[in-house]
Amino acid sequence: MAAGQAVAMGYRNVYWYKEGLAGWKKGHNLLESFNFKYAHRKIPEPITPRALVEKLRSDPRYLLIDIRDENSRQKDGLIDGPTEALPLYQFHSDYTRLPDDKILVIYDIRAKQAPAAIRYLLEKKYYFTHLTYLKGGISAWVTEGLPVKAF
Amino acid sequence: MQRIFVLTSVFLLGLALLIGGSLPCLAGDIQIITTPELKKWLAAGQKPFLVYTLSPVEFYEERIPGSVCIPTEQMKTSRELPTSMDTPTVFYCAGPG
Repeated sequence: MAAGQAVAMGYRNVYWYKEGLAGWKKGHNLLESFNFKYAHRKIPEPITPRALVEKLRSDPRYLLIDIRDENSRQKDGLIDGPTEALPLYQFHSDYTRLPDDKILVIYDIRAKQAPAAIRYLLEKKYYFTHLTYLKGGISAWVTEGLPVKAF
Repeated sequence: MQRIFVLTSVFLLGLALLIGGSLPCLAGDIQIITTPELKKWLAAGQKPFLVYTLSPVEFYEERIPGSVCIPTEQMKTSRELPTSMDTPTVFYCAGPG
């Protein structure tokens, strides 16, 4: 999509490295990081969709953090419950508005990006016991037959 | 006459295969590049402009050396893209799956 946008903006020499970071790592190639130890730190266990349903019903401390972009939120719908929408591309600049006295449940499409958000909050000294993410993302929520509401 | 036509066709087919085998694949105006091709290019003198298109939070953790982070959502307003429209620019993200 970014490559397509570049072409639409007039760039004429555009390449897409389709294999991405996964392909680069598979080839045992050199990586860069601001902190490799941080990138592999242990994070809290995820919460299953059914368990989250119960917690949203019974525990007012639970707060959903939706890190998807607006297009995904429109396309796939929202989980009904107290929510802060904070797209991952803005997370580094806006995370300070997330409360540290709630249990934050990060969710995305398939739980591929939520762990990075969790690690970031741990680095910023949010409590380990106050963080989790939705196992399987909203895709798993929908697969379980749980309802979503329109954006 | 028929022989000339056949020979010409075989020549042109061979030429197409030779060129196609040495260039990255094309997907419209976007050229797809493989890991060995990118590795070779980054090791060469004239490196491409390398763009990681996911979030700064993920960029903070791991990236290909020499990348800049420009999330897809911020492409249109980014000041980090090359000023020349002909600069070879490679975009990547996490990869399939």
